[in-house]
Amino acid sequence: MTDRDELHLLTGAYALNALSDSERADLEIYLAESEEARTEVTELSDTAVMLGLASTPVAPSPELKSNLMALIAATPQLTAATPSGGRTDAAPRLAAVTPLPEAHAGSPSAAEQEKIHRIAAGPAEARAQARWYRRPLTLLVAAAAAAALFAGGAVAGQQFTDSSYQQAMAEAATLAELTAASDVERSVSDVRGGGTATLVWSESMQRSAMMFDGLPELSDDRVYQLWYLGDEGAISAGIVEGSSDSDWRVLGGSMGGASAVGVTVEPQGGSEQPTTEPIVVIDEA
Amino acid sequence: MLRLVPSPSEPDGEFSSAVEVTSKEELLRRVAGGDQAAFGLLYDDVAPRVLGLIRRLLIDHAQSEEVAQEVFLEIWQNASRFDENKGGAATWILTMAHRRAVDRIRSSQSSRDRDTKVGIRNFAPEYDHVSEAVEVTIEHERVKQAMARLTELQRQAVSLAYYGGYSHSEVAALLKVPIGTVKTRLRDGMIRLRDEMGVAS
Repeated sequence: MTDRDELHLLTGAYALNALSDSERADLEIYLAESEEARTEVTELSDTAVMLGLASTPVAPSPELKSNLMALIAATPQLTAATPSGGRTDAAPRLAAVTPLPEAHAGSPSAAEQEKIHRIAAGPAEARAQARWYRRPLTLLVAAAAAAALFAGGAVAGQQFTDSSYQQAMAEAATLAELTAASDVERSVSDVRGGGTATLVWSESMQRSAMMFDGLPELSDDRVYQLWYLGDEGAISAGIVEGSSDSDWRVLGGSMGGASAVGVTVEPQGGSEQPTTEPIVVIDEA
Repeated sequence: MLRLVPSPSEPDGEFSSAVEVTSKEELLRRVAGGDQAAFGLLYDDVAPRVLGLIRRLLIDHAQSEEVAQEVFLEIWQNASRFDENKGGAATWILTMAHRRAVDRIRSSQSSRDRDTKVGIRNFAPEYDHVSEAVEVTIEHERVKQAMARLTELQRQAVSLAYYGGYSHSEVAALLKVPIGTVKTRLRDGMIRLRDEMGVAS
């Protein structure tokens, strides 16, 4: 039996998703060159779908739909114009997670700090702001290392056409997993300056995601930066480009001891520590 | 091209309504353009089928809803990739749902837990005693009849692979037959089903 015959035998298992990843890859190469095999796989896949349709339908919980409707409202779509798998909006968004520059590490003035305390809008913000500017050196290093890891991954990934897409998909999968977690919690807050921010988090997964809706667009040299806030101070959790008024991202790093998430407007590239007053702070409790 | 039956020309209680029936393909096109309302309609239309299939594989309801959510998010993100020339919307969606359910089984311990919980016997014979099911799909009867035309080994292999989410090597181990035999039985079993159900592209 030739290799081709051997591969052709796998069409049934392929349609049933019963192949290992390597066999699947081998067969897909063969499919690209054999129209006969392609036709057979298409027909057997359609047959498999009949098996699927024969399963007894199950009514989903109402939460599944409400979760999804909230999710899609903040989830970017692939455009038809990027057949290579590239995603027009993904690259800049992911590329934006870069190592934090030293330039913006300076402390805010005492006057600024005082102003921040005065402006505290709610109980969550008041509590968060008490620890807003504490910054032990070890945490700074840890945050910078985490940010560098992110950036390293993004740069290395650019060698592959699909990587930014896959990374965006991975983030979307985390978001989906997060919102489906049994202990998921959600909190919506108005953002100073307009719009709302929705924080979704799961204690068991130790992850959070922030969705923005109707936020003012920022000038090119400014970004929104996310921070985990806890007893240890503020730890950067990623950057959201302010180019679109609705966006979301899964926060980098784990919740750890953080008890709130805050957002500031920072210079392009982000800061090591917040340099402006938060436009919103949401409690994770 | 497969579509969820009934087609718009022969509506039945499940899908017909006073308003004009919009095809899933049309809804997907609108979803690709960012239409959230169309996504809601598409969800209402196919979610019970999608969840039904996923739960058949995963057994656990909460985990099945998680996977269903991943599938629908993928539909939202990838709707522009749907190519009507390659098959209907139901084919696209259910193929994705099956794939994700299998991924979940392989990536977690759930398959092992599931094995001890249900046992392999429960996968194959479900066609024979679904009378208690409230809602029996039209396809159910067609599949049941077509399955009856397979040999015992073909039927077990196809059922374990599709409804059990087992890989061909796992199927071989479960049925205690060589892996080459399983590959062959999966293929000729599926070809037989295709011919019995008149599925052709």
